[in-house]
Amino acid sequence: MNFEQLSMLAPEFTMLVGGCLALLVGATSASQRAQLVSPLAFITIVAALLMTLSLGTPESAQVIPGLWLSSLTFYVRCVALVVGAIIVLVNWHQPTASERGEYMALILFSLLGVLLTASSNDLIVLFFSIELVSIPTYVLIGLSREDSRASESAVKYFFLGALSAAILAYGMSFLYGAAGTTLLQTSGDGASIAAWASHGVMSGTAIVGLLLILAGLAFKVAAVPLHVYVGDVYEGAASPITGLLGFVPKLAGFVALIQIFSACQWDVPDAAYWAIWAMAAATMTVGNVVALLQTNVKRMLAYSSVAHTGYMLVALLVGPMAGHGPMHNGVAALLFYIAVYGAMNLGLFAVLSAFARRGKPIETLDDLAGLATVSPLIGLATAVCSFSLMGLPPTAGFVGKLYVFSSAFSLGAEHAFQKPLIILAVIGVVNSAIGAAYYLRIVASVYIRESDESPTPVAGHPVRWGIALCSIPLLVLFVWPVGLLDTARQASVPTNAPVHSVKVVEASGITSAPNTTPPVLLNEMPFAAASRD
Amino acid sequence: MLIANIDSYAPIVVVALIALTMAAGMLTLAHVLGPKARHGSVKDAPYESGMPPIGSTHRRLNVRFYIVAVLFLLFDVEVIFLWPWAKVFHAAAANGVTIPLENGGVADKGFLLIGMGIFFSLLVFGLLYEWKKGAFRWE
Repeated sequence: MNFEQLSMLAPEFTMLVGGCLALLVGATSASQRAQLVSPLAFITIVAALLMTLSLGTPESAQVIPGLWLSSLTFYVRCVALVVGAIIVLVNWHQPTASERGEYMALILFSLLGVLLTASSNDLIVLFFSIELVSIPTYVLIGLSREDSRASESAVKYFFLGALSAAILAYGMSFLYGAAGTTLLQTSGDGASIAAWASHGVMSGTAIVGLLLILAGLAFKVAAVPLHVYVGDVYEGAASPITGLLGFVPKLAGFVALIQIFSACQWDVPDAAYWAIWAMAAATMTVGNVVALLQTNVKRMLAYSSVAHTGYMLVALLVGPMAGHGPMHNGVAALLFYIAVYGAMNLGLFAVLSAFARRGKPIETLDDLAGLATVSPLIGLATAVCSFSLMGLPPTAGFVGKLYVFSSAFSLGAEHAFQKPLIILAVIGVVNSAIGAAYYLRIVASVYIRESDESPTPVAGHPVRWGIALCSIPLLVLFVWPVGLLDTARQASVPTNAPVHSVKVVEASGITSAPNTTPPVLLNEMPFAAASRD
Repeated sequence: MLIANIDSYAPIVVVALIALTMAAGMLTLAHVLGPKARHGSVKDAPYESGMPPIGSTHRRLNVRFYIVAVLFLLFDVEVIFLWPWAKVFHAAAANGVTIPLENGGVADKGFLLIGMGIFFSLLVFGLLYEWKKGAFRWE
């Protein structure tokens, strides 16, 4: 290890140091100093983002054991830090002064977990990164407001989250048992899950492992049937933190799924394939139908977040190397969609946190009535975010849905799952139409509905900036999605693993950097060879 | 192959069996051979010739003890990590033993020192935070 390699981790170190500083500044008793915490957190994220951009797309290589930087790392760093900066803006005044240090530090640590998830190259590191994302969110829900409902949802989320972590770890242990190593990939021909998966068919142990991992991560991304917590948890937490909950764990969960599937060469066994297929179909349908029945906006958006997980699962199932045509890459579509989803979802929750009615935070559709007359600009931003969630032009949500579904439709006839995937995409399109109904109710409430008492603005400038930074890019990305999409395309082929992905690299015209480091075996286990059959 | 290794667990099974038999045997023998206890309201009292107890024994503990317990756990676990590190570091520093890494490098003294430095500074930071937060103050 040398310092040049360590400097590749500068964004992660910045987040760590910034989080610690925020804790320390927040712990000092003087309340004036507590005012410094939010700017400190914001500056930390911006600094980490600038470092990410100046480092550029890292050469696909292992920096220290367990961490592997790739184009996926670069993309996830950019998306997580940009949305993270907006999350800090939206949460600027949310915590009480005495708890602001912990609050901001936990947001930074949770984002750090996302960055590490995208660069982990070992099942154990991956597990700990996902826990680093999750554990701060349990505390954040409880800290976010003085309300018994917040405590209730924190406890619910904690216990269910602990259960899902246990299932995830159990699944990883099966995968380790089958592959004989916890390493996802190596630069040479050492033992790794990628090398193991490229050798042949998966054993029953491996399939059980993959299904358990899928179940554990389905909780993080809020996929049916592990979605039951979303309604209560999203409603109980304060709106700015709900915006975080809808994005950060979801991003980490999907990145972990991409990491594991790409280590398995996207050679998903049929059992897991059908499990994800059923999960995606149920997630889209249940999410949208239940959201239709809600009058509480936060619960509605919670179930809408479930529905969007379903759309993303479709893209995950398509995988990075299916089909032909310009939009064949499902993983690129997923990565693009999740970035757009982060902005539009956070934008709506920021709007909810920016107003109060009768001295209480906005919760129901009635509370939103007359918002456009109070503040026309924020009303417009609400409409942009809602239309984007709906998937209507001229917003990035339309482009995202177009990529997701056309990746499924562009599958070739030689693909074993072409027909089921097209059926799934049709289910998705029908669901988008169902979803339009409840998003339109939000817009109608803001613009059309009369109210005896309109909401009053309570937010400061940072929240307004946050709303602007969420909604304006949605319009820009509709006109010019290529920049983000190209980065997503590069990120969708992160491995330099031997078999399938090389084919994709050639097909999409991206050349991966050659790897010069010699292979050294570290994690080769004594029973690796024996357990293969 | 895994099944073949199970022989090496035989001593553990034997020890467990011996422990179980001894514990069960002692209890049974004491019950059979020992003098029969008399029962009654005075005999069954917690302190037969002492003070009558006041209140329930299932009282709530002061929440401060939990902070003490959490802090103890935190800094206790730290020692668990320090011990194997010290053994490896000693081997690296005194005998020049190095661990090959995946990326072709080796984990030498400097690598081990930086790793433990980061770990330890995080712990010291945690201590500092606790101090500032007033977790060590009893009042």
